[in-house]
Amino acid sequence: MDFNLSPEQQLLRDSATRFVRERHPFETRRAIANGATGYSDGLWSAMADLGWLMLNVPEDQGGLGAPMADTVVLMHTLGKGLVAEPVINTGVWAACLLAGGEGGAVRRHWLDASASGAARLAVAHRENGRSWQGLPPATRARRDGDGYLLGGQKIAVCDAPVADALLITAAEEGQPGLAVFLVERNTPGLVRDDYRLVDGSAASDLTLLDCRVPAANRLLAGEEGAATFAAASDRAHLAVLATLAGLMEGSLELAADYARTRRQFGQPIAAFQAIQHLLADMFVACQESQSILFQALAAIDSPDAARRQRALSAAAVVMGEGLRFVTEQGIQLHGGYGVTDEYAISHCHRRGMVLAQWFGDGDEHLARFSRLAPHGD
Amino acid sequence: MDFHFDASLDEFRREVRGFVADNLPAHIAARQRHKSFAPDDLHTAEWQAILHRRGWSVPAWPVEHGGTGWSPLQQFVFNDECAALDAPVFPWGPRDMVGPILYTFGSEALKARFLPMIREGRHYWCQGFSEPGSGSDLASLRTTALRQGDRYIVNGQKIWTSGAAVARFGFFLVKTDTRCKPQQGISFLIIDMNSPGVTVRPIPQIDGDDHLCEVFLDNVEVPAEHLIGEEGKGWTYAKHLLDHERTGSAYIFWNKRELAKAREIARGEYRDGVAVIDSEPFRARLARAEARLIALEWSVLRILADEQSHWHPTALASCLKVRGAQLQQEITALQQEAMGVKALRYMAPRDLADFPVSALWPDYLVGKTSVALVARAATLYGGTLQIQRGIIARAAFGI
Repeated sequence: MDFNLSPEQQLLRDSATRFVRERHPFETRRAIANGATGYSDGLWSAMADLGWLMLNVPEDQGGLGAPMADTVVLMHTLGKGLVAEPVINTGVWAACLLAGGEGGAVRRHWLDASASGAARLAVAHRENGRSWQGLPPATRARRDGDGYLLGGQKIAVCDAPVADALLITAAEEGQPGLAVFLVERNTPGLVRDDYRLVDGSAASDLTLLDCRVPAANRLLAGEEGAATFAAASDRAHLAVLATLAGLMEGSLELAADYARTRRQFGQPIAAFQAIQHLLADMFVACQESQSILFQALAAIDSPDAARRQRALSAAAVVMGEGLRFVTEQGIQLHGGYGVTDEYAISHCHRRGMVLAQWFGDGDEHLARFSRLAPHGD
Repeated sequence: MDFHFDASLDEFRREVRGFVADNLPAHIAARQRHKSFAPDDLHTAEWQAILHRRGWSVPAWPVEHGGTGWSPLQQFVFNDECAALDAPVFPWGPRDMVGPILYTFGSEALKARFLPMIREGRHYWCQGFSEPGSGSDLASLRTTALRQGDRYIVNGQKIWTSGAAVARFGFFLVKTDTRCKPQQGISFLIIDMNSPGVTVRPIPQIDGDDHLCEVFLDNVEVPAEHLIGEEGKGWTYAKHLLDHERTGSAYIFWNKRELAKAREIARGEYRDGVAVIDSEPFRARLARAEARLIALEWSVLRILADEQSHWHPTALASCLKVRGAQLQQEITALQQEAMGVKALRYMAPRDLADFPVSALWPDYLVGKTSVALVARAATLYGGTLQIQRGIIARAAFGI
């Protein structure tokens, strides 16, 4: 058992740390978050050049086929640096779906485009009034000649406004399991309602009005499709949790730095025991989160979905609680500055809010963890 | 990064499990289940003797002193299996504190005299650290041991000395020099509890037990060779020990076993025809505790596997202490909740072995309330929760 970074992972972390320091200091982050789209083409292509979008593309499909630990290392650092580009959506979630999918040229084209950074992709699964795990989706797909007609609605699809194509889940008429369709941005019948999220990133509600796609755009189908979707989503979920761990560590460091510098009553507020104990509890929450993240990483390659998801849910429960504690108390320690846009801690809090919802909230994971208990209860 | 337990560790786990299953006497496991062990219980010694014959009574000690040479992960697996099968937990003092300090710093004569008896579990030892005026502020202790020729004359008072009434020996922190800075004049001394001038007063506890004691030391004469190592080094030795044993305070094996017991109680107890385990609020709280327990276990593994961290090791060790203690309280509270009104029955700790088990009062209930009450001390002993937070703030952030 070895928790230390390999030399390659050390290099990856160093390069991600340097990237954040040089290309994405807080003022840049703030400008992007408050900018026109919430995203940066320059950053995106720089990240693609560093090969970060190829980590989860198998070697025999032109990628790096890196172990999931590499993605965890990368996302931890990008999370700490508050980078909001759609790395997880494109480089992890969509990449895993495309890599595991059927279909020839379409799949191949979009996998190459995502790995090279030529395209951004977003996965659309959430529906109004449904939990993350509320399968099957109400969105329907019906075979129609040489294509499919999609109908339904998706809500709060993260990164969709900047995505060149969407990977949309649907229940296929007369088929068990789950289907995933690739729908290009400007396809007739796909209506996007775009809006910004609290962290400056963007999302869309999608309405599919008999949206017609070629048959070759069906990437996944049936029970096998459902299993591939689950495995890809689990990897993306883990990437989100790694981002959260980095975000928590970043919040802790911001809070500690602030407490050491901010003076009141003639001394740094860090001199007060009330502040020290709060920082200590934040430290404990960060360490606990890092530990249970390792536990989820250890299970991620298991072919047993229940085992993977139990491990992920355990992590989501502990980290969801820890995240809230660390970012909320981080704001508390900043006093009034904590609720301004000008201080990074408020960005940590808002980014955390968004990420913690991606794959279901704490209660949902508490229930799933309990349900998947191997105790026979 | 690589999170696989290697195959040899699985093999080792089977070996330990097989040995414990075959050799742990049923009556001893039953006593552990009922929490009916007094600190001086002969059954604990009986189990230690069994382990000693197998060469496993002091796994963490160096091989030349009777240890096993196991890796930290092997020791983890050993303790995990022992706890899961209800093997008795050994008193921490002699095996994990006196022993290591003796073989690291003690004279040959002291090692030859005391290490074998500790290894074989022959006597109970008590530990005299806290004093009425020195709890969290241990450095302020006032018990003195002043050298007169070939002996020390010890005067003072200790408190919270677990098992002092039945202990054959005690290891005490004393001031051998009263003039220097508080932390510098402290030494480790072994005291024969039968010495004239030693008076023990058991303290009635919150659960009706009285194994915690006050110890009065009135001109107690102690042979000078009972000093461990050098005068004035007690503080350094204690710190050395803490640096080498950073995961015990997590109580990970204890917490895992007691969570399983909480589940057992919740399966057996009903409200309005529904098993407690099937009540949604209870399930949620149980699941939350279990998730936190998994996090704690992985925190322990990170330290055992020697993860390189930019954080100070002391801060990381205190994290284990904080969460380990909080979980002890959370898990025993779950047990109490599952027991409902049955948790209120007073069961005298000394009589637990003879508790009249029945369909109404199954054996999984026996002794649990006592444990839950004593678990309030988990955030007190070994440095209170507040002291741990102070340690973390200092070690992690330099404040």
